[in-house]
Amino acid sequence: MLTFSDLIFKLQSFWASRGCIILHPYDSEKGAGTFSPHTFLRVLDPKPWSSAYVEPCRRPTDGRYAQNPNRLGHYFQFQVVIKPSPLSIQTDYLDSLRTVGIDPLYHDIRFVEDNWESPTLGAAGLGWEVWLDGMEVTQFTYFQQCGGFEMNETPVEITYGLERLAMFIQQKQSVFDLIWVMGPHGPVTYGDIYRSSEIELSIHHFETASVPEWVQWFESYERECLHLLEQGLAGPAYDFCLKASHAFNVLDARGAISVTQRMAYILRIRKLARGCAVLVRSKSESEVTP
Amino acid sequence: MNYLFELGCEEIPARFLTPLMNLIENRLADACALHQIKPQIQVVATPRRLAVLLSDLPSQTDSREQLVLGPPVSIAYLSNGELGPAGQAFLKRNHTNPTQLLIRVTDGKERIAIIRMDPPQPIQDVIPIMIHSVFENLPLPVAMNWGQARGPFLRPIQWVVSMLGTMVLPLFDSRSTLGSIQLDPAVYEGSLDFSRGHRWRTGDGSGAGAKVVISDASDYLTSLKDAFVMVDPNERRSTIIDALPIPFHELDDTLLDELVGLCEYPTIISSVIPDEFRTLPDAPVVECIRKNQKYITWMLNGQLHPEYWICVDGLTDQNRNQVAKGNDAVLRARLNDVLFFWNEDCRHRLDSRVPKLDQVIYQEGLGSLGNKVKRLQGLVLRLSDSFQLDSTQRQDVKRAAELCKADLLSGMVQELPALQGVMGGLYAANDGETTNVVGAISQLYQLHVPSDPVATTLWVADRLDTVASCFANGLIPTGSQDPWGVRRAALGIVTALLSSCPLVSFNDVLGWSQNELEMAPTIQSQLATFYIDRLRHILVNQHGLDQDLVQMVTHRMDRAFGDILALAQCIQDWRQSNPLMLKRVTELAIRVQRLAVHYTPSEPVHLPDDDVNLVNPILLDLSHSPTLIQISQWPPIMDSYFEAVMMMDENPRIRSARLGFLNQLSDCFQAMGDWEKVVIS
Repeated sequence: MLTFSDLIFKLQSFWASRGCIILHPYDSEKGAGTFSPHTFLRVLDPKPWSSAYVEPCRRPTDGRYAQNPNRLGHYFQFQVVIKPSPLSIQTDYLDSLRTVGIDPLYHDIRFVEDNWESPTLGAAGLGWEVWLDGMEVTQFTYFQQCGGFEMNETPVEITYGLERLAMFIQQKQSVFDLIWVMGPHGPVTYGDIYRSSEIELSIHHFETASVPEWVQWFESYERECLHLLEQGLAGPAYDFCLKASHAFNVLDARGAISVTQRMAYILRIRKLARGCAVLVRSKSESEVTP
Repeated sequence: MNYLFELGCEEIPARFLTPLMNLIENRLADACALHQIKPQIQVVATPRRLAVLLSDLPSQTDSREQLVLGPPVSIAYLSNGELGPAGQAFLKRNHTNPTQLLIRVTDGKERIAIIRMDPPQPIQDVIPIMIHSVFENLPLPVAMNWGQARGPFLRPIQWVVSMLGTMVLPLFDSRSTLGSIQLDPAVYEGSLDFSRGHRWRTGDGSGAGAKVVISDASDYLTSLKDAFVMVDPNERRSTIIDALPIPFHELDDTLLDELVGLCEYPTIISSVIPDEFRTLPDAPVVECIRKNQKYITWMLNGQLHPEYWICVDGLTDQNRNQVAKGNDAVLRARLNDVLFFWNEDCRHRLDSRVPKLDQVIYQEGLGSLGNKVKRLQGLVLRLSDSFQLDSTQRQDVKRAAELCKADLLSGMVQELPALQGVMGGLYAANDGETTNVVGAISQLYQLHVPSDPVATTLWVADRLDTVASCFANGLIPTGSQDPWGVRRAALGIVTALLSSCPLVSFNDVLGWSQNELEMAPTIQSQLATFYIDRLRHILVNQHGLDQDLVQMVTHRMDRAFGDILALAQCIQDWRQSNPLMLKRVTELAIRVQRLAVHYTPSEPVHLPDDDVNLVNPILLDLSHSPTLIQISQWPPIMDSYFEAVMMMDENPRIRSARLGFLNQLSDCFQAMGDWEKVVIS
């Protein structure tokens, strides 16, 4: 039995063997691995970059009080980002599946068109979702734009849905039944670790989050981000861009954002992300030009 | 001789395959025409490749004449009439002498020119030029870059095959691009003589597929078939169709196209929808299965068949069980979500969602969906006379208008937007709304006019409001641009009114359109023209009426649709049964109208008795609204009358009386239509 931990170890050592720097989760809430500065800020820099990391993601609207076997408000992605994209990346990826015990010869693997766009990050890419016997297990994207900038050297981003993949490998019907690890006192499941926090987070996001507080936090994060941008501090500014984005997601799940306000919020976050991107770009250019 | 060109790619999106094949085929045909060769062209594609086969190629092109333009005459010749340096240089460049010089006028300028005889060119020199020209600045809907500034193309390019008969035909001697597409070194430095087989059915399991050496261009299709690739999309399509028990005409064509574009070697397996989901309504189940999983479902006698079919790429005995099991598990998870949304949505009555529509933007500048719903509630009542709704139906249509947009706020519609309306109907039924209300909501977005009057009233009202809103908001369709589907909406309105409301006129339609929307007079007249054009389109295309007759009867805004249709049909019958009569009536109408312009309104004067005797039958007809049959009798009477009397009599009273009579006739003709539009052969 390949445990959830084993799955992560195998993916890490596989991509390490392919020259990726193995990084660790970034310590701020985010909706997807792409939001991690390991991806967003790095792809804006003209230097080559190869990294892989686990990223916990929070999507408050996807919370289901631990009632739905497939949907979670907090889950994990395994993210690989390589720039420029190698010509062998598809077969490299397929190799990684074999490493975690999925021999494509015993399955039906399909690359189905899925173009990805993040309005808040000003990012867009073309690629596929990878179907494993009809289940989407990976998002495979060639970045074409990020922070509003066109990419000269195209980065490729591979995002594995770890829970999906593990459920497939362990043949579980519910994410909560996944074996995280075989402990000294028996198997420890995903549910043992995350069920109660999933329920509590759902209650928080849907019912108890204090709307006026979150609105205020959003405003403060935004102000701080703009302030840091003025100081020329791209990294710290981006931290507050992430925090603002998370505040928006919470308010959205709480039903506190009307459809009319929604677009305005998205544009405000986009402006922050754009500011960070511009700063990173201008810094890297001044490094390149002696 | 045959030539094969194959472009190996990472998976090209299914929706691009057919347009890509057409584009390449057209460009190839152009390139062949340019070189005056006429090979057979076959273009085929799978997600992983695009291939071009040229057969019956000549070994060389024919020699061909080509016009070569030189400098303008004014520059080529000196003032003394002798050929100057520019002219000499042109001769030298083209290895020719002054006896061959011609003068050609282009863009109003005289230039010296020669006709050059291009010698035959070996086909192996021509093909690379053609292939590169085909890929020069390819207009692609979504192109991408990859790696170190490679591209642009639909997806990264992995290999190229170029075989002329049994020989490799080099394409990249001095270049690293295909047309204007930058390739990777591994591709342009490749040996150009091998393709790749199916990702999994061939090769070492890495997913690259086995090397398939193409030793002869003519063997391409069979070599690939042996490597589990059906290169021809038609073959994949018929393979899928043959494997299904579903009658061909009941298949969802769009889905079928997608499946053909998603595999290289299709195989079909079937499975059964789990029992616990059989309590769900069919519509969301079908939509979820089709949209999310691309499985094939079958509505048999109005009920969802319990089986569904999965199109697998390259099924083997080795993977069969696992693939089936995996897909079943995914479907279960998906349907669990549908079940969640259904249960969750059913906890909220539709009417409890209505106030929240105030927060949903309908169109930038046109307020919220809540505003639209309020407009609809007023509009359906104003329409209900024309649709002859009784008092219960009026209540129902008003209720349906109130609820019809509320399903937009349900979880299911947000997840599966194509179910808008259909879900509303299901929720309304669940809330215990009447059958009429349920029917009107569920049919609101369907393409064809509903069958019952309540549903049709709401269907028309919604579209009237959409068209008017777009016009009021400056979103008037032009050319092929019609993002809001305004044309289709207007066609729907006119079709529905023609069949259900014969008494309605354009004036009514315009009146309804202004329902609570502010519209400048110029916009109103644009809207009027827009609707008239739609009516004309329908009369010509759906009712088979002649263009000129349609123009004739649609000249006034106040005529009832029913009359317009009946009159046009009647006159078209004449044209077929008695064209001479139509000719004579038309000529009479035009003559009378032209004379009647001389009439100046005055005190009514009676016609002289002699005149009355001559035209008495017409006077009797005019005492009520004359019928077409009556009018058809008029030409001989009027011919004798024009023979017998002078219209412009010297006596002003008599003149006035005669012109007054003609004016009456003219009014009568004009009320029918614009006779000047009728084409008489």
